[in-house]
Amino acid sequence: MQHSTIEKSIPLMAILTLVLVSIGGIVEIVPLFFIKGTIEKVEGMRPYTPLELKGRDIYIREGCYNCHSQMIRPFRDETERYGHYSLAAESMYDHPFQWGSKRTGPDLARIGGKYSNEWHRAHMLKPQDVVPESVMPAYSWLQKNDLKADDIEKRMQVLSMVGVPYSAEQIANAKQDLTAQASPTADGAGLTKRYGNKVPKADFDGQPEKLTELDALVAYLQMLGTLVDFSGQQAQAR
Amino acid sequence: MINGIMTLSGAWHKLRTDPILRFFIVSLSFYGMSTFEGPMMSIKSVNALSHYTDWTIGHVHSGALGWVAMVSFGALYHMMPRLWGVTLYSTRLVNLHFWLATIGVVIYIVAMWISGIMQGLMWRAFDSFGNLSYSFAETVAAMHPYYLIRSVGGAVFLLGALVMVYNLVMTVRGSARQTSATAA
Repeated sequence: MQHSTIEKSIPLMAILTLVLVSIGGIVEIVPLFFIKGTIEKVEGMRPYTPLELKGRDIYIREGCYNCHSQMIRPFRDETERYGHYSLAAESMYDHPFQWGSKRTGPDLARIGGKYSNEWHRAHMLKPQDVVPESVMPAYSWLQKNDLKADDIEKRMQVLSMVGVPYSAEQIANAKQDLTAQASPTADGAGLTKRYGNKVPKADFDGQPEKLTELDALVAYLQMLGTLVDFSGQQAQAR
Repeated sequence: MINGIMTLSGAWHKLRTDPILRFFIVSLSFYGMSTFEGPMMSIKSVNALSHYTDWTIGHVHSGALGWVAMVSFGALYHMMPRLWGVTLYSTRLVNLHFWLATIGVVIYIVAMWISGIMQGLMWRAFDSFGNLSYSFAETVAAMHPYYLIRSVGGAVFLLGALVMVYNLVMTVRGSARQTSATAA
């Protein structure tokens, strides 16, 4: 067919363009039909606790994802620097996921447990106090703002609509679990029963009398990448 | 891109007299460069180096400033006098804007390319014992001069845009004076 024929007939060009574009579309879309088989099941994954969920919302609100990725690629230097490469299943309860696309600061996919709560507190107040070269701005208001958690049940319900397996019991006890996790002295039996015994329970912001946004954010940061146990046979081959 | 640039075949001398045309030619060049760069950066081994670094930022700005902004400037300079039925206030200012924009965007992109590739190489560098050569904070510190150069480039580009705003405002006000003169 002469190219000029195609160029001069808009319907013909539209049809041929559609055919061409749909080939590309099919190639990208069809694999998604088999996504259930693509994501390997991994031991240890659980939905976020109410406090971590609030922390994650603050992470999104403050735009942390603009400068921090949460996606360790399977390269030697990245696994050396950050830990085991990210698995698809580790993002399965993230709506939306926080992979990010720019590392002005380091990757945070496995930041959980690497630093103490005190370190995170100092870092949020003034990052340069703990990392002199840092270009991160201070987030000092997090320590002052009371954590608003009136809507926590609703947030968990919405997440369960898109496939996060929150049980009715977890949603009903959300507020209680939220305050229990931020206090080392509170009774955490319910929290442990509903989210497992690995949930870190502490006064994350160093202000025992207050429940602040810093409590939630640090709780979130301290669990990132810690759910899956890589110490056993799954440990990567170096 | 080739089609666009070759449109000037036989009329290249116009670039010497028409600064508006220069915007379009430079825009086409950046268009060609950034759309070539994009697919290249999607190749796995290139992406392994470029992803998460300032290289991506440089690439985006060569498209946003070099291509889209330049062609928009050229279009504004071409359309505004026709819409108000006047001639441009100053062709010399158009020329000044062209050079400010071109130099600004080149400084910006080159700074981002160098810092991006450097950052990517520093992240993956190992010493002879097989340990990582640099901590992340060291790579952040290494970025500082390039962020400064980048802001200089961006400021020069912005200055050019302000020159354009002044030029266009004066053009439109000139048209207001002409109309009131004819009405009187």
